[in-house]
Amino acid sequence: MDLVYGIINCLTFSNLLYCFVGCILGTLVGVLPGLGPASTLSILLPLTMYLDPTGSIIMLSGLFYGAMYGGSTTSILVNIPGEASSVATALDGFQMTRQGRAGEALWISAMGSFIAGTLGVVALSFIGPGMAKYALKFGPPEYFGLILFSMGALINLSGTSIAKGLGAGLVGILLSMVGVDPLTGVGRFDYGSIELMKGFELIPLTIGLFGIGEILISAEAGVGKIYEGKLKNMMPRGEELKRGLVASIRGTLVGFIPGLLPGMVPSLTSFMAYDVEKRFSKHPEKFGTGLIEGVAACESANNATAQAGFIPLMALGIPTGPALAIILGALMMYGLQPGPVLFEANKQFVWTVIGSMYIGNVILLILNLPLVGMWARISLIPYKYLGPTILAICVIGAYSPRNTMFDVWVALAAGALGYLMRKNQWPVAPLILGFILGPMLEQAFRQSLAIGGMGIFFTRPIAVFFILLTIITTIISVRLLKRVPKEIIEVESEV
Amino acid sequence: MNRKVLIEGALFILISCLGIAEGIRLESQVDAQSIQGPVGPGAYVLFPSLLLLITGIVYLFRNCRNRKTPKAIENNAGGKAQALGIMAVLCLYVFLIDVCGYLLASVVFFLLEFRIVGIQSWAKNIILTGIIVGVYYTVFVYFCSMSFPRGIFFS
Repeated sequence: MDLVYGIINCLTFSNLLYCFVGCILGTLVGVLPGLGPASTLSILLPLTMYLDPTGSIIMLSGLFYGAMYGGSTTSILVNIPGEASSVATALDGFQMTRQGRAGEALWISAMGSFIAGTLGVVALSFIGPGMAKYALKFGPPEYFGLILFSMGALINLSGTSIAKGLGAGLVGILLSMVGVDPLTGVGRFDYGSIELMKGFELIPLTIGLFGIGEILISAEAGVGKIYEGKLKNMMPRGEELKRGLVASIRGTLVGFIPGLLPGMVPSLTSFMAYDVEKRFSKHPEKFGTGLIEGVAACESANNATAQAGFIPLMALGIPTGPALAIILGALMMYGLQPGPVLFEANKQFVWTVIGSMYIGNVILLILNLPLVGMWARISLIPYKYLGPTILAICVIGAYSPRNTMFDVWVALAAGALGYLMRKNQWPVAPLILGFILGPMLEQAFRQSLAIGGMGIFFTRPIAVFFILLTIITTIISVRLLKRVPKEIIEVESEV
Repeated sequence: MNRKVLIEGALFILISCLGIAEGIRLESQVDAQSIQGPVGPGAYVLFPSLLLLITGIVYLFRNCRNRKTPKAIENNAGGKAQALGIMAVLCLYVFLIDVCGYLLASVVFFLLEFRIVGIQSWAKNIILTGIIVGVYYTVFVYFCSMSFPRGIFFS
């Protein structure tokens, strides 16, 4: 009944407008590489102080989960992930575009996002506080096990050579170590440079590896247009539709449950979902060649994680990622203390925000399906106009996280690296995955050792479960990869 | 062993050596009285570096008998020159942002970049540059208040 009142409350003109603006901005932020939800939320936060608390949080929330929808558009159309959470989507999404199936990719991406977003909000509505309490049982050893399991994806993303994939992943982990040791504060790989002491940011790295690298490859290949076909046959049919929807449901589960845990950001769960989907598939060797499941699973997972993050945020006051931390800041600025008290003392506010998420997902489906042609027009513009335009946006995007030109130089270097890697059939995805997972793995590992030494990994049941699961699935993946003809796998390494 | 594999393996080993050197340096600076935890910063760096070294050696060993050059993207000399030109102009752009500020650097960037990608008409080039730079400046600098460097001439 509270939910019904919340939805009714949300149907006022002002709340609908805030929801709509948040969704539009979120989609736009998602489409533009480098402008992430966290940076945009921080820019918008001062402006939303002029609004009432409900309207403000509705808009900020809409922006956050809207970015998950929008990030896939450029991932699919031009192989430039709009968000870190859409990196995995590009693996198969862009291949679908190259095969003239951009419409189907965009359709399943939007539909998968809608399914995951809606199911996520349903879960938030009915099982919020109850689910959040189990998250308290996850300590560092459990996190270590879970992240180690995610690392197993390095094998599956390796393409022709497991050594190349593992090597790229390890290089990603070493890159993530540049900066300051998280536990002791000593500089690592800084070589006396203040800039290096700050470490590398993820956004400039992804912009360079995927965005700039892709443009250089396209320029060398003499691409006239990114996509020459029409966006016909938007909706997949028959067997492909069924596979896409099943992958969406699976991706939702993979994204939602870990999404309750702090640190489980959408970029991570989208890779996990891709990996899980590959393991379930009868044709894992075809992943990376344009399989609809590869798009559906990733997009569903990242949306599910985004929605799931609101559960610990509202129930416990724990933000699971940087963007949600900003929303927490907004809540506290309004004097709204997240936690069980929030659900009781500010019932109308909570349920109105939750109600707005149902409506927001519908708005986003409309923006990303029937109106996807508007975004897809980008792909029809001749590349000679689009290329420099995108490069300039990449520069802005690389600059925006920390307002430092050092990050832009990092993006350029990553662009050169991405170009060389793709030219020589080195997989790029493991490098990014290693970069994302490295700090989390390190923190979990060292905290676990500080708590109970190496033995703790053998005495905590959840940790043991994930470690055993990692070993088993890695062995299975390696054996499966060896059986698949190399000619088929070669295509996978072209991201 | 073909040259490409040799270079790739050597890169693996080089990066791992950098990691190992850093790990040893950090371990040698451990202060016994400070709180390091069971695994110090050096040991944690050493582990993936050693793993990378092993991976590189395995990679070289497994490919040592393979004399065939792996298939790479076909080389297109003209395209390659364009790609290098794009990269060079991009580097110039980033350098110029610090020197002359975002606005001026963007104008120079687009004028050169459009020329490289094949827009031969200067009139079209100038019009496009004006529109795009105007839009970007308005959206990102004016509305979003992004504070780009103003350059040494305008700071």
